[in-house]
Amino acid sequence: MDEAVRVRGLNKTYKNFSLKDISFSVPKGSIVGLIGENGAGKTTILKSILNLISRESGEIQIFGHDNIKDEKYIKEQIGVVFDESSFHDTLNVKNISKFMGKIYKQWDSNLFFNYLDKFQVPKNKIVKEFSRGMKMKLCIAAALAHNPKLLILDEATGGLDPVAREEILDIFLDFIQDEEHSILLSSHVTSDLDKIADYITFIHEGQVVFSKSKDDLRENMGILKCGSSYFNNLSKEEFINYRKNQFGYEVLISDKYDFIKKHPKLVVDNTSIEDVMLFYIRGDK
Amino acid sequence: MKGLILKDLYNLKNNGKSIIFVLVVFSFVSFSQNNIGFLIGYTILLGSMLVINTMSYDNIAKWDKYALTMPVTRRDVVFSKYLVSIISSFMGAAIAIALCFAQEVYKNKLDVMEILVVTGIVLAIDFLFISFILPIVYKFGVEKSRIFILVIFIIPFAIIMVGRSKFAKLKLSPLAIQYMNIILQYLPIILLLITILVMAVSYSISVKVYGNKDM
Repeated sequence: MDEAVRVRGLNKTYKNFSLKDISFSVPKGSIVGLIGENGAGKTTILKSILNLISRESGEIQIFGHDNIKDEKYIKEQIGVVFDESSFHDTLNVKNISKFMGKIYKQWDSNLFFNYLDKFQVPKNKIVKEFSRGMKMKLCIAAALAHNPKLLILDEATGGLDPVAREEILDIFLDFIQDEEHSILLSSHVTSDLDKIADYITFIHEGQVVFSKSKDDLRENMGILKCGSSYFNNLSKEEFINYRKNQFGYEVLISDKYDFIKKHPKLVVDNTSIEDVMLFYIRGDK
Repeated sequence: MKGLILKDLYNLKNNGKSIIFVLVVFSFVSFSQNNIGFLIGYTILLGSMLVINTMSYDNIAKWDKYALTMPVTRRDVVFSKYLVSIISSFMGAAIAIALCFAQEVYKNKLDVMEILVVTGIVLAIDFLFISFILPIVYKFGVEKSRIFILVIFIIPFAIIMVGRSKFAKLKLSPLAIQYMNIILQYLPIILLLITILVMAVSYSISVKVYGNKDM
């Protein structure tokens, strides 16, 4: 399988925080979601991929090219959206199209204005007068207008209302129709990733906890709800984490079919990405 | 690179009202004082200070982090700022020359040579000024650099003030005066060479500082 992004053994140390031995991949044609709490290291990973920060060790390849050696070549083909608009308040969309056209070889101003029409972004206002949703849509239009092969999105749907969020997710799904295209996005809004991600890479305290396909996660993982008598009979190898509440125990199971075979009397529910994240972070072992 | 410069020029244009206001005030002051040095000096310095404004706009928009996700190197970003400062200084110079011309024609005492000489010297000082400021701004950021900018502004004036009173008292030997005249004759070229050299060094320091920065 071809990889759009390949990260191996990435290490980066800050005073109070470090990324430890991060490895994961974004297969071509897929959407990979980085999830984790605020401060887990998602943004730091994306910044390393974009060579915005230095790193101690590790190897990062994009489309098979080293991300530092072939930086300019790679960046012609990447569209990036951060969690807030990076365009200056006093600019209007015509200004933006003009100078972006001088920055990207492949900038297509018709495509840019088509997207703006489609997203109903006003053309006669300056960025300062845009709502948050408009600003994000402007940035997404700018990220798409040079025909990139890879989109990197850092909390791009954060702070948006559900309607705007769904519109934007639809745009991403549309983008991914081309098999050469890929998306790497970080979010702590797990419902977004439930909707669109193919793979989930879970980051916790600067480390990768797991990288799994979302189907694997949804179909195989499960949550067992049981009383303490049942729970005490389980061996530690049979589950990943548990949480205790006033009604009994909730237990995260890595392979629910296997588990049901062994314990036919117990009921195991399906999970969502949010459940899994909460179990890993707040659960006990 | 062209795109980055264009972006700065758009930002300056869109913030242009206050700049024009300051220019008008300068012209009035210099008109009443009969002092073209003042008008030229401040117009050009105002021009070169605009680059600091563009860096401040970039900061507010968190532009640099975004720009570096584009096919733009850190070297390009720094180089574009030096170019913008040069462009805006020359624009300032053009405006200053035009204003002085208008003033002197109106007052019927046009001295083209004087205007051009003063402009040339001010431009050279201005480029030296930029060369000091930009690496400092890259190192400490726009806000923290403001105090440095103030100090660097004051130093040349202080030197000139002190130097002038000392210089007037100085009695030079004929040989020294002869040397001085030779130096004065080549002053434009010497100034030009020094300016280019200092700017080149300044640029390489800025590139180094900016290159090591985590965004």
